[in-house]
Amino acid sequence: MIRKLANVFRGQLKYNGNSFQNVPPTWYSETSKAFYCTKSENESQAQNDDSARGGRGKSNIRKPPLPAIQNPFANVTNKTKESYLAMLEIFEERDVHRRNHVEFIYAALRNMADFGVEHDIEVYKALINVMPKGKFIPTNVFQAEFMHYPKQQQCIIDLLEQMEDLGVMPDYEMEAMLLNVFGRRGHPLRKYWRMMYWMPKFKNLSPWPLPNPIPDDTLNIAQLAVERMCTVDLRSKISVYETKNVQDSIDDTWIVSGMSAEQSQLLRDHPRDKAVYIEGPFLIWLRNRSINYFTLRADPDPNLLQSLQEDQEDQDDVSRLKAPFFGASIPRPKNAVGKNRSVHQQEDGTIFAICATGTSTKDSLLSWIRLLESNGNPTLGEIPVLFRFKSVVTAKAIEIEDKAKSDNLQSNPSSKTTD
Amino acid sequence: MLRLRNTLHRFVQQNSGKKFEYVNGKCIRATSTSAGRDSQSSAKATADNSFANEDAIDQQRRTGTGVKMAPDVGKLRARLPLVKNFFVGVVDNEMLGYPEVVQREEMSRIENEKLPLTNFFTDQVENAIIDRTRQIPAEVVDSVRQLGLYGLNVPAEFEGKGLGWTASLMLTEPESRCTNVALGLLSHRIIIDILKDVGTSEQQQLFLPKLVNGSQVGVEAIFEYDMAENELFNTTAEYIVETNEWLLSGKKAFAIAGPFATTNATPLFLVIAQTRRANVKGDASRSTTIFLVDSNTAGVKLGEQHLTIGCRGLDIRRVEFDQVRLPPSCIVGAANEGNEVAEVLLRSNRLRSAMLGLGMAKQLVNDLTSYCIDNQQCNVPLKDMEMLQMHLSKASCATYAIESMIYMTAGILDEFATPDVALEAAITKYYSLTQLFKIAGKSMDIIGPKSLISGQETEVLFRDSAQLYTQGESVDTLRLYIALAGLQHAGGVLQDTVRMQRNPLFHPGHILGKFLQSSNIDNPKTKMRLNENVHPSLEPAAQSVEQSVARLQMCVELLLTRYGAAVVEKHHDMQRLAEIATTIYAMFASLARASRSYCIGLQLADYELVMASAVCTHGRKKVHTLCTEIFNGQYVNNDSNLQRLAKQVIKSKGYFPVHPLTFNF
Repeated sequence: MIRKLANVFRGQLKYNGNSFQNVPPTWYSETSKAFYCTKSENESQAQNDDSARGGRGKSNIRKPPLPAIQNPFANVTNKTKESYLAMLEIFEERDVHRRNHVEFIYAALRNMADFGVEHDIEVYKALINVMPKGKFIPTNVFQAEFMHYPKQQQCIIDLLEQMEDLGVMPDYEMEAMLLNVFGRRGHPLRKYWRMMYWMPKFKNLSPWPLPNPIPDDTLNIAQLAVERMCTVDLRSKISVYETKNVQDSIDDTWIVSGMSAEQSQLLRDHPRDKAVYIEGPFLIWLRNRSINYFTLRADPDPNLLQSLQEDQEDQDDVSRLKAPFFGASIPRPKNAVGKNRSVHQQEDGTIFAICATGTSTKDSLLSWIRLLESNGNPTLGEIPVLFRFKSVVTAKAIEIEDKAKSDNLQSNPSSKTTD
Repeated sequence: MLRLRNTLHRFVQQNSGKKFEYVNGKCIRATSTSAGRDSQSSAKATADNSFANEDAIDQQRRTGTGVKMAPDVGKLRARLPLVKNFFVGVVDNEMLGYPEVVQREEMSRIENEKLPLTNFFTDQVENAIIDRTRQIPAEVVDSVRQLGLYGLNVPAEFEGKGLGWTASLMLTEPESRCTNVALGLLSHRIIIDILKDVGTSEQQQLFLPKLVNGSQVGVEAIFEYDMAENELFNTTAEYIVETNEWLLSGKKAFAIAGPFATTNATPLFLVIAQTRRANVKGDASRSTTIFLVDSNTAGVKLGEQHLTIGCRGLDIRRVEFDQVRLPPSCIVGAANEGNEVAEVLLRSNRLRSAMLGLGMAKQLVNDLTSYCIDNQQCNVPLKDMEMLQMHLSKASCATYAIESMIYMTAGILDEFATPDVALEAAITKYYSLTQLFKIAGKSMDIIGPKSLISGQETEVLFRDSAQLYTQGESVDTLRLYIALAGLQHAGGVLQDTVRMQRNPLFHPGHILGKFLQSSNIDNPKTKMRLNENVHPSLEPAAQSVEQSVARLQMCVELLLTRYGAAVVEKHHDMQRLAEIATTIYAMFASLARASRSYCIGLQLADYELVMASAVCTHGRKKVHTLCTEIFNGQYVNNDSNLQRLAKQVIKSKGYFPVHPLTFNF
């Protein structure tokens, strides 16, 4: 019942809390955002808590919000893990009763992101450690099933929920702590066990695992992104070029280019009179980082697609199976007529290569084409190459990359407007 | 029984009609002495001659448009292919009479000729020394020339010995004591075979005399070091109309150039090149052409040597052809019809490589046996230990089957005009070389670490057998070829049945009939009556062959119905089919041989009976297991698991599981 109530409040919070937006975008669900509250929200939350506790505020006059406890986290100037842990220590040593520790934990949870500790298991354990040991352990089955000390249990369940949302895996020490605080039949422990069933299974489910945390360097992110996109063709090669080696290049930046032998072959076979396009910028997300990339592609080959339709041979006819003498060509019926369709020949076009550049400018893309041409694709010099952009792309770099690093996006302003 | 195509009905009727006469003949044979056998074989000849006047047999053979086969004089009409017909459940009962193609007088002549060869190779050639010194001594090369080993299979009019397949294989047996020599002469013989079969008379006049006296030695240059990505071969040949010449360029690898072809002789290369048909566009123009290239032609160069694991006495090299100009007379067969010639080429290659395996297998069995006799452990002689006895008898059974298959295939080639033994030859090679490798591995089981000490005879044999295992082509492609060739034949015969079964709602009657038939994979109903053609003691063995053939036919029909034309992609099932067909042919050949030996009372023929029974019993079980796997389908026989795994292995570019002690949290 009370747990439900708490959820209602949280729900309210969710929709009231429209004041924050400076958090880096994440793929996590909406609920997780509720934890990142600013000061004003804290106050409204405190007010809600206040009214929930007693329901005595019956007067219709809405008083200015008065925090039940002062939010000690809001006033810290040096927001680091050390200062965060120091605050917990101060709270623990303030008095033996540790009054208002539930409120304190909620406040601490909300401010984790500001301190950059929301992915740190140590901090969560320190928070649980704030709870007094032994007091909340139910002594009979009725206490256990009727949620002994509901507020405290709910508080820790919320803490665990936040961990789950952020993908922070609990460990065995946390189990021992929860056992000491809430006992074997406590709800937080049950939650913990459910988490420990699913989270390890989800942890490694991605076919394209990423390092955790993702490196901050944009070049590394670009390499990771291109590498992952190139997994469609196992023969893909990722190369990193420096544009300063290219003649007439204005920007001095890097280019991460991905291309496979098969794509080179397709490019060689591409008719000289048909243009190829540089398309983009497209956005790819790596966990909570994003990066722009471009593709080199051509319009689809209608003849090939047509021939694929025609190739439907009669599967019922077994009278003309082929037995080759030398093992070189092991027969495949689809190979009977013409070439096989490559994975790069999609219905909307043929993709020859992809790249991400440090500046995402036209100049860097031009350097990319020059580099591709000098690295095994001489035919690019004979084929017209056109730009086909989805959004504004500057001609040359206008900002210094350092700025881009601060928000982990590329300096190109247009990148933020895409998608 | 399945509903067969009309033509097949006709074959079956013809066959059974023929069999009827023949069964009578067989009955005589089964109980008669060798005298009886004689009269019976003449009866057979007359029966076949009379049959030749009858309606022409549909040979189901594609003869090359431009390739003329040499006329086979004095041979019987070709029969239907033996193993290919196993795939449609038809057994040629007459073939259970083991072919006796070498006449009595000739046999003793060959035995006499074999004697000096055997003496030479046992006394004067030491394979282990050749292996250690990495060269065949020049005296040996000279002696090989003097003993006339270059001209064994060359017709008598070119001063060769004019021996047929069987006889020439018999005379190559002594040399296979020394793998280096045998492998060195292999491609020479193959080239002579091919010249005999498809060479023009000018080519024969030109090359054969030199090949006989060993002033020119044939060397195959077929395989290449790098796989050709879009074509069959990287080596290409181009026809230049103006000069009426061919321009050959490319590199071949694994050519056994020396020492036979380079000591007082020049190599004559047989090269397969990729060519393009004129007047045809696209991939249809892709074809191959086979050339004979004298090494003295400008542009031919011997490249670097391959250092191989076995057969170290041989000089295995790359050969480079740099814009070699060749007259059209160098083409074997017709231009752009290389595949037809390749059939002949590979038939000869496979059969003769199998022979190499036989010699080594016999040697290994002998070596292992004497080891078991000479040694004892804790006062127990090794020969009394059951474990070792099993090893020895299994190795002997395999060797017996190899020998039976080789001489049966050679017998068919000698007895009939232009027979289709492509599949038999492939199977013989496959069985021979895989079994040889297995037997060579047994020496590690029996002797232990000592067997692999450098320079030990068993070690040399092990390395040589590994070398042979990859000789010419990989075993996987060989398996694939066996299955595909069989399926190709079966597809032609069963096409109507398959079409009906793949469209059941259009053919309810057929499907209903299928439901009503009582034959199943565990209890196949057969009416082949093979036991009437062998000695009564071999009835269970004959029964095994019969059931196995019926099972194979069921599997083929099932696979064709299940996958249709896409069956060619189901490589794992095809490997099973190849294994089944191979086992059946091994059973069939052993059965025929043992029956003959026992009927005419050869030495230790009663043990041959046991051997054939062992081969057949083991084979029946193997075939049954494999057929059940095919019938169960991919979800029961584990194929789908393996396919799924393979995808992940490829995606991860190798072994993907993390360390077993990895922590996740």
